[in-house]
Amino acid sequence: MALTKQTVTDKIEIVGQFNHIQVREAIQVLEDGQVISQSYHRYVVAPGETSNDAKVQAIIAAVHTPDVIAAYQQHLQEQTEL
Amino acid sequence: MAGLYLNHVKVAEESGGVVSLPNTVQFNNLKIGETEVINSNRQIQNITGLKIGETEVINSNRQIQNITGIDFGSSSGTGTPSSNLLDDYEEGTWTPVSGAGTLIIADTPTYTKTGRHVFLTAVFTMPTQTNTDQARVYGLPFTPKNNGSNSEYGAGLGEHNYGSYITLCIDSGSSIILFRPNGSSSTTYTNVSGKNFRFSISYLTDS
Repeated sequence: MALTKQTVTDKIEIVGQFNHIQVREAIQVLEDGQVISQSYHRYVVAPGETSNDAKVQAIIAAVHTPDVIAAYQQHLQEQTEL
Repeated sequence: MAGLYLNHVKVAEESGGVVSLPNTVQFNNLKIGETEVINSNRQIQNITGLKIGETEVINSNRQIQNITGIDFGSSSGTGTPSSNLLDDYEEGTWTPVSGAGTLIIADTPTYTKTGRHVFLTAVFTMPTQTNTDQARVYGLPFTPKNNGSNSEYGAGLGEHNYGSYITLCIDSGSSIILFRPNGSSSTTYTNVSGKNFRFSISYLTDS
């Protein structure tokens, strides 16, 4: 009976006007290769941000184009304060 | 008396994915083996596994699974999304990340997503900084819905040691937490340097 732990990126979604990339990681405990426990960890990659995950990096390259990054930065600058 | 075994007995008609039981078929006090699965009030009970087609919707732990949502409104049958449809639930953790320096996280930041509503918690200390840029914390678990106005999603601050009134907010359509003293203009990394914040934030997401 061998217990192991692994983290896998099990869901990647592109959402919203600025192609935010939502990433879900499943943190799994396995017994003899079978998942016996699992929890989730999430993060969002906004245009202009990076990720250490190779799969996410490939999606960043595809959807966070210079135009999208510029539009998102413009959006942030337009958020006026009271 | 020996048991009566029925195999492949057709008691329903299927049309367009809808299964209809004829009025002439009644189940009262139906047992499978020694287990009563339909009681005298015609309520289904003691189900430890139920399939619809090839999909198991109640598993052996008596948990409902593989469903696409719970519709609290009247079903029109058109297949269009309903504002009464609860179609997601998830719990997990997230990691707040400072835009400058490394913040110190206490406890484990958590999130709970129910439908489009995200509720998250965190306790952290901002890094010691002399950076005068706008202080930002990244790492939200879901993208906030863009409703057009900024600072739309504010935090409930349980405790902090900033020294005077301050609130945390998320800009609509961005994935950044900002710090707003006096409830207005954002402040800098320098001003929140080394400060501790214990809070929760609720916001809406598109996903």
